[in-house]
Amino acid sequence: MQGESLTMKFIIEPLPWMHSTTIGIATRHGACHDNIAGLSSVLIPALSRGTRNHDEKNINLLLDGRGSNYYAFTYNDYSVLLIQCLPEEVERSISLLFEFIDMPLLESKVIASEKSKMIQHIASVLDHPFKRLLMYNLERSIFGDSHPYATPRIGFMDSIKDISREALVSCIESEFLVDPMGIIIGKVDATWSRLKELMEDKMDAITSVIRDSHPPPPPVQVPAMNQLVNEDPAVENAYLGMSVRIDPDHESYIYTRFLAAMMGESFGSRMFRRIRDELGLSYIASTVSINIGDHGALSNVMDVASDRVDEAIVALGDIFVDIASNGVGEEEFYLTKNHLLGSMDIMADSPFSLIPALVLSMYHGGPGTFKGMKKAIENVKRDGIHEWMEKIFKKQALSLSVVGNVDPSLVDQTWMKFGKEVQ
Amino acid sequence: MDEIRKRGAMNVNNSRLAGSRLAGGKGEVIVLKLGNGIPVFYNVVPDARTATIALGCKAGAFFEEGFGQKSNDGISHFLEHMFFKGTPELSTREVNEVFTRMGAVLNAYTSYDHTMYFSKVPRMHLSKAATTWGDLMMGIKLDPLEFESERKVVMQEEKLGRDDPMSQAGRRVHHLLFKGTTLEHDIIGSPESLGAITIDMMEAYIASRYNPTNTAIAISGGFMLDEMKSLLEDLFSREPAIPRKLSTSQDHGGINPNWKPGSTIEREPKIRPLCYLAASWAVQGDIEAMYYPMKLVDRLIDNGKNSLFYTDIVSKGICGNASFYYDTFQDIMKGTIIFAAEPSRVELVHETIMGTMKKAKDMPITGDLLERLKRETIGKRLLAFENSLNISTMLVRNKLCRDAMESPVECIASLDNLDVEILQSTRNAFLDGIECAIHVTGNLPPEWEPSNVFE
Repeated sequence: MQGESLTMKFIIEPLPWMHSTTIGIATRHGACHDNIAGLSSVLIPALSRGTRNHDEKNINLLLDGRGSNYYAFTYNDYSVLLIQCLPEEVERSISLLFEFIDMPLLESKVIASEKSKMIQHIASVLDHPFKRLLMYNLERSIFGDSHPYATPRIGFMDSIKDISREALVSCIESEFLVDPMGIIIGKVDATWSRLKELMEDKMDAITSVIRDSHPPPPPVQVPAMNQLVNEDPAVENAYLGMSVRIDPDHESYIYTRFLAAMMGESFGSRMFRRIRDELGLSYIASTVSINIGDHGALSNVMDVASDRVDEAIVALGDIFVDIASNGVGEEEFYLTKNHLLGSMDIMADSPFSLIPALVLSMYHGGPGTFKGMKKAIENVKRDGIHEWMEKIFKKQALSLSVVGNVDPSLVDQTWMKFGKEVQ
Repeated sequence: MDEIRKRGAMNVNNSRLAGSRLAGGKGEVIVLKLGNGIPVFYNVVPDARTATIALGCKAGAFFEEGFGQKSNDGISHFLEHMFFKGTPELSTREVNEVFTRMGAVLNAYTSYDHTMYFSKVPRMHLSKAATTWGDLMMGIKLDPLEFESERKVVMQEEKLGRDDPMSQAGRRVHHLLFKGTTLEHDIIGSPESLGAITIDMMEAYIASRYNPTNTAIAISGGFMLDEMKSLLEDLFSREPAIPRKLSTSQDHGGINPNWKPGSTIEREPKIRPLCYLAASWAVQGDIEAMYYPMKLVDRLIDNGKNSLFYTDIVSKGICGNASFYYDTFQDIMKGTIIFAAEPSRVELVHETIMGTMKKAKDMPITGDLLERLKRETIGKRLLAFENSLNISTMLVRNKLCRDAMESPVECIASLDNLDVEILQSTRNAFLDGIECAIHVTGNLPPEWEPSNVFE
């Protein structure tokens, strides 16, 4: 089901086999919209730490204390606040969620502690080379250093220090609610329409500014075959991400999901088969799909022993070249399609997995419903995938990011050699 | 097939909090034995769209010959990888594609006292998933080329762990605490031990550990009971490709009898942006009696936003990464605290954590506190029991590690029946008079001697 109120879209998904309900609010405000890097990541946890009606202790007793799970996160261009709870807790949880976005106290001591947590979290990410690749380097190599899409969700130590209470209050009051969506998923029986009305009423009563959209970001400008190497002799391994950027006009949430699944989301994927099973190069061999604004990207990421980095670059490159030149065989096409359809059923058992997929689908022009997404996957045609791949696989869109114990000149040499082979 | 008992159905009313949520099949478990003695737990949830099959074996680092001779450390985990490598009739690629086609969640893990394999699949694929697991368990093939290729993957996994400072700190303090015992070595093994494992050694390990008396299976979710009973009987009554010994002694011989929990402090000076401090302690005794009360003790100390760790440490932003967890190994329970902090704050963080542990030790256990912990723990369990993966792995783990056969309903009832006295005695047994082993990584002043006692 999908409905719209004057100010709010909805994702309503009855999953009758569940005995919990998950309610939530999604907003199209994320890290790329922050005027200070990492602001949303400090704001989101601070929202649930005290409102005008409930202090932090009270909130924790009403949520965790009653067995509910609260989960909130910021992605590149959207944020979601969710509460999974037993049915008798739903109405109370809806009230709390709206208090979080409409009347947070944002006390100075809370902000100070969230900033301190974030600064130390950043230090731990920087001290973990694979997390460093994923959080700091991958999107910089894809979208360019200074583009908002490359802003790390957790910000930088210095930017976090610069965040003031005024900046957070200003964000929640006038920037944060953009194209907001209500979410009701799980044990949703005849009461769903009442829950929807309740959420609409709460949204109508909100005093903060509700925006339709943020201003568009500047165009992405990155050199062809961009590379970003972060040499770190203190670590044991090297961590690689080879990416293809998907530019406006070609961005397609369903096709991105399809190709990500085929390249590296299962034991039967190309990454797992080639990089891990056949070459024994890596333990982690998977594909990360990124959907931001009207852009997307697919990144094949892996770890590798430092003395095998050149082999890894060649193997990752071969996966891209093979797909671009030979396309997808019929068998692999149906294997991937069935995998995606089956995994949708699995996701439907776990609201915290299903909801981000539905929200992303909806924000990227997709159906935003469980059935709708399954249908969209069923409707994917092999020819359509081929045509799409021909558009996205081009030299200008390829990039490489490497973190770890590597010789930058070897990376450069291998990457440039690969570049000469790519059209 | 020998029916052991139906669990849970008669006990639905035992728990006032479980209510009707786990009724109608959701919380009931039927336990049957296959002809060869393998216990199978069936939890049928008629309206579920998915189902999970979990298979476990009492095989893990505990049972390796690492104590005194480093010959096969890591063999349990290496073998866990090899189980995905097919049979004479089913190639590695076919195994991977079977599960990929289903959209399955497919994974496995190895611990000290058991190894678990599981697949969650749409219900229409459960028979195929069970059949593939039956084929893999009975027909495992140790092909030399696959063996060498996977050895590289496992060695790379071991190396990967060295780049994760938090996990490395946990591993180092574990070594320190259990030095000189069967628990000392890493589950994953060392580069030397992994390099020395042969196909013959692995076949001997399969023969001694992967026998029916050490195995348990659980299926939870949407499926037809009779159909699954008969399928599993057919699958597991076959002669295994690698013959299995009927082991008489199923448990390890206990850890070194002279072992006492260590209180050593080990330093690893290393220039890093953060310092990592891991403290670990262990108690030995009637761990089974502590099983359910520890769920509440865990929630009191660390788990959730009402815990002492959250209110005293996390919410104050004292450090970005702090974790507390506990593990059990037969008659031993181990507690571990790990935190990461900037070098200038390590002393403050350490002092705060020790103060929090003291608070946990001294806090009066009142009826109100007990009720809060129960409501929170049971509520969380009810949400976790929506996922067939949680139920089936819990059933297998409980059978293998505790010889317990509790249904979800009984699990909720056991939590609900806890009283102040048992919670207090468990908390005291876990925290009273404890000295920790401590491992510190980072560039800290050499004169700093962190206290390792919850005073």
